[in-house]
Amino acid sequence: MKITNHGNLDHSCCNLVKLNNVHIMLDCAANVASLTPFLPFSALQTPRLENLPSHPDMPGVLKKTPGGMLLVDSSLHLVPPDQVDVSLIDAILITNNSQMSALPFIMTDPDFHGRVYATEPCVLMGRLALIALCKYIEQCPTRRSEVDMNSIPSHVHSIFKQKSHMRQVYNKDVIDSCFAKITPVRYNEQVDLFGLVDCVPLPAGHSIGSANWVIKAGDYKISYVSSSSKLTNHTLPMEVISLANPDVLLLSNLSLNPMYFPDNTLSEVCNVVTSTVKSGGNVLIPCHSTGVILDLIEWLIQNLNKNSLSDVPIIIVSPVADAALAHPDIYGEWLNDAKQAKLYIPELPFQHSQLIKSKRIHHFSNVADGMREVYKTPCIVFAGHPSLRCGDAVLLLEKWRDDTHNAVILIESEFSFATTLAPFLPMSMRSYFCPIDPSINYSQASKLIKDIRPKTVVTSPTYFRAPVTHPNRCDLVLVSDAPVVELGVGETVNLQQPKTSINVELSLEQLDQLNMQPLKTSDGYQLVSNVSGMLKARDNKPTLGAPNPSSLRSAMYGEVELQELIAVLTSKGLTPNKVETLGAGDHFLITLSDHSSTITLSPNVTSISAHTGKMRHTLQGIVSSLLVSL
Amino acid sequence: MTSDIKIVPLGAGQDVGRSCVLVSISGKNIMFDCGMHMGYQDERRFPDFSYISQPGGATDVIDCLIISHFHLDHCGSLPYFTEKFGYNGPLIMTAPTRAIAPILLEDYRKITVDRYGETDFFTTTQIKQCIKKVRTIRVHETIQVDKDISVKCYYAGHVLGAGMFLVKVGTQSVLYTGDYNMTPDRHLGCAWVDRCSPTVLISESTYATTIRDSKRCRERDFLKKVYNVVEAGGKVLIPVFALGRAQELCILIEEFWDRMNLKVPVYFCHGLTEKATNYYKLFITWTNEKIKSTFVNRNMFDFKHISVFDRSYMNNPGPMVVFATPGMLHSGMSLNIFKAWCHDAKNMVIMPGYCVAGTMGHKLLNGSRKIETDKGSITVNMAVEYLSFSAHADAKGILQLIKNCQPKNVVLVHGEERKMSFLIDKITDQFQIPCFKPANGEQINIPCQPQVSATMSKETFKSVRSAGNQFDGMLVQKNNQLLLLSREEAVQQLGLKPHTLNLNYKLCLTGLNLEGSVIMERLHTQLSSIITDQKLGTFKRQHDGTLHLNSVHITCRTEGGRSVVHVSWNVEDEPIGKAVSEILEECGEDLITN
Ligand SMILES: [Zn+2]
Repeated sequence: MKITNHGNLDHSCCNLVKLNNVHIMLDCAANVASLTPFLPFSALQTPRLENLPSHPDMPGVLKKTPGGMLLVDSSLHLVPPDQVDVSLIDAILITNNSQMSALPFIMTDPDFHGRVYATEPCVLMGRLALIALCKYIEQCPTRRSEVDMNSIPSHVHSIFKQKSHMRQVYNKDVIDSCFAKITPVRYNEQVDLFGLVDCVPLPAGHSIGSANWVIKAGDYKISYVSSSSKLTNHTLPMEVISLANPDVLLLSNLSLNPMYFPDNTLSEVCNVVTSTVKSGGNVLIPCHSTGVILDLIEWLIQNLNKNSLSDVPIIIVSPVADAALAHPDIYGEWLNDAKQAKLYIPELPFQHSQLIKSKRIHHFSNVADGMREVYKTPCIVFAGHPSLRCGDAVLLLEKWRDDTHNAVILIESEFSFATTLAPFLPMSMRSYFCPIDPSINYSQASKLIKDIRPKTVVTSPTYFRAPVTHPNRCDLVLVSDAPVVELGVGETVNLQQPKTSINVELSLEQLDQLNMQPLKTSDGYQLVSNVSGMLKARDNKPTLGAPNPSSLRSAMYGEVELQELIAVLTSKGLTPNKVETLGAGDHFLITLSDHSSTITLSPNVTSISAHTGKMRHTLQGIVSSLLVSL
Repeated sequence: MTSDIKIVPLGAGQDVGRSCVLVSISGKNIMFDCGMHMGYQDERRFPDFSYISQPGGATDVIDCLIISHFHLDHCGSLPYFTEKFGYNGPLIMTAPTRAIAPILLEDYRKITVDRYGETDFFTTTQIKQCIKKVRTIRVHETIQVDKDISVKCYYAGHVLGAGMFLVKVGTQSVLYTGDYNMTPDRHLGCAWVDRCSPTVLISESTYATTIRDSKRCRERDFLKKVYNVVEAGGKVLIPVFALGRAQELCILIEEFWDRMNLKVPVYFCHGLTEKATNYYKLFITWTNEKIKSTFVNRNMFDFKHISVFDRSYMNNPGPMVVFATPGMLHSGMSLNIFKAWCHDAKNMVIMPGYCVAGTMGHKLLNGSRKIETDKGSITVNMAVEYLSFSAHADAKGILQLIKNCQPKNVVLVHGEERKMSFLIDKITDQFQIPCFKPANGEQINIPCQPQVSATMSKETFKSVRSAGNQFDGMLVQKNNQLLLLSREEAVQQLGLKPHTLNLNYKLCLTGLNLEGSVIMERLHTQLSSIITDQKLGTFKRQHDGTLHLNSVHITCRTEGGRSVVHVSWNVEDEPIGKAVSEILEECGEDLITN
């Protein structure tokens, strides 16, 4: 068993597992943080950004913010997984919708012949997130210049160190054709790979359809746990029991901001929103249109109502807002017990559809799409893209940045606070970092390891070091009582896998014709039978079909014992006339009673001479029965 | 371990209604469905539970109960079985079935108790208690019921949430289809199953002799009838129950009105409002691709042409179409509308489903046209039509399912005996597998062949798979284990020594006095002309005069003054050696003389 980490960050996962000769890619994420060194743009002109001074190193390409950050004025690029031999991949298993962004790069590779498996909601939500990104790019009024990424000096941003394989963001057609090819699965559905490996997705508790995977080859078990959550949110809680006792626990995507507890940041968001709108300011929350936003809206509404602020409009701006808001309601079977119970009333599981109907929440595909009619100050706007490098969030931030009453709250934890906001600084608008990351933190992960008792833990070495900012916080370090094998970015680990064999069922036809005979082997006598036939997969179980000898020439093996041969000859009425010992005593000449047929025996050669074809055939049969033909 | 699979239909054996099939598999008893027969008012409407009456109660006998879908002939006796008969074990169904079945059960309870004054029937509370015990299953999910029984659900089409269920115990498995259809319909996809190769497939056979597309024809027929009536200024009444058929017919009418640009008003009455269609909205993932992919922009269940009925519309002049509850015209709005419209021959009532004896619907379908009411007798002049829309697989669909899942045995239930026989002939003809049609209470035993498996090394498996799947090797019994070894593995692991088996033939040329080289030359010419099979190859003459082909050697020696032809070969070249020796034996020295 071999695992290679092709990801380029701890939280953009892409591991290639080789198990039983099957190559399984676990997650396929591009590094989205690679959007941050680019100059922000949006559907309308943003003169301040466009007029930032050029940097003398590459005028027209590099721009410098007042704070000294260098930005690349170019079309957006992503960093796909590193050094993957696409032709090897038999299957790709996806854990959640944030881990699919590199799929279009891999799936459009002509060498890719594998199949991709993701839960039904994950396919949909993942597709929406990528489509939102492309639509933001399409909305850009001016064509972005095509800059050769290799020409960007690496001091601009660390991602340009690996620039050789940066890829321009794909378009909607590519996304659609790739996502149509993904095989949707449900929790506890067994995915069989060639009868060699069996994979089952289990609820991970992170977002709708998020999954951990149990991968089995015979008795050998790998539990792949990534982006799991112990938080009480809208989705089915994480399932732990089926993950238990694996040979290997592959652990990734722990909380990116373990210093923040999501329950605390959630209420902090509510507090900031409340105080901002009370003081007459607008609130901008740059975020994805799926995931955390679903829980946040329900919390926020409760909080605003409590504070008698129910007339403040809540506006969601995203090119995929309608689908992103409509779909969670049809995935009732994927939600937590309380939400699932609503299916039987029947009521919609989420409140937002009702809130949209009652005009408490409004949604628009972009700011120009009728938002003017409901917009009033103060208001609360959720808008993308959370990288703040494209989309309506950029536009609104530019518009609102000069007013000290306004606030921007960053909630998506994969984007760092300082870098994300840098192009907009200095600004009067207040800014808050409230990452709501439902993923398990280090102490929860340490407890998980205790609970599921893996034989080996494979995970990132960084999880065992406290963050640079908090070197003494031992609660920010992963503790494992099971042996750990560290797997860093770009590294490979080889793990001893007990020699496994495949169970092959014998078909009835095969059983009918089996003729088990004792054979003298180096281990004494054993019962053996020659078999041949086609290997088929029935019910995903390999089965050996009806007897069907191939045309291959067979050879004889074994030894003919003199006494045994005489006994058989006698029993067939062919009692030898004479037996002579030849040579060193291990050669014999047997003459039969017809005087002309003979058998010469030696340890590895038997020679038959017969007068008639019939007699030769008989003797050949007798001798063959004492040997084995293969 | 290798016991027979025993199957007894407690209902739906050579019959339609009160589906209930008991399967005993490797010592575990599974009950599929727990239906009600709508045609009976006495205990015959329940499956024959006496079969499983035991001192310990049903929970001791039955290890798992699975309900395939919400139709009452599949779940109608469920509250009776759990709350009155006392079954308390695992109960599995899909989420839509769990949502909709209790509503239909409550409707049915109301008719039976309110209409017929039955006192010994399950109560509303019992329905609720029963449904609380349900464990839901998703499509393709595998649930481990206990350490031996696993259940997997497949999509069945038919109605929202209908499932087919594969139950595995040890190495044996049973696939129970419930009702299914193999062609997609207005709002549902078609049934799908992988090559799961169950030991037994238990299939419904309602339309065992019907041809494909008959449903489309019935739909067209229905629309044509509705259209003709409203074109002539008449009114159409369609009595329905709140869920199931009603939504399908609404979609049908909605599409037709859209296509034909009709302006005639269509109503559905209060019982069919939002609540019912909400279930369909919530379970959109169970509908077909078209509805799933368009629902964000246009929810198929938000009808444009159909609006809510008010009783004051009843006497409006001009044509209209009204869907009204209840479905059997026994009370309520549908009966009121019927009484108001029945005198007029321009009008029509279309019954889209089954009617229980004693209801107005049942009387009408049996040809009564004079009906007694509390206000005296009324004459029915309006047209009465019956149209069945049930989505079931037809013969072709059933055969397709068999082809897809590759069962070792087939058992037919939920159909008429005569039609089953017809289908059995087709199945045995096409698949050469045993096929049964047990009657209610009749137990069939399906002998189960022992399953034997052997282990094969990963390396051999992979090389066999990559070389066209042909395996040649050896089965070895070692320490009570069976091993499949490739030739190379067998030679190596069993310590086999190569052994040459050499065969010889000689022909003495008594009447010939020729040089050995001449004999060999003539022999070469003759053999080359006789052995023409390209696969065997051709003999080459060496410079010492001998003939060679693979291990076959032919020499000529002088022994005791006579020429003797020796043929010698290894057993691997038996085909050639045999051919040569046979030619020599048959022709003798003539071969060389000529
Ligand atoms: Zn049915």
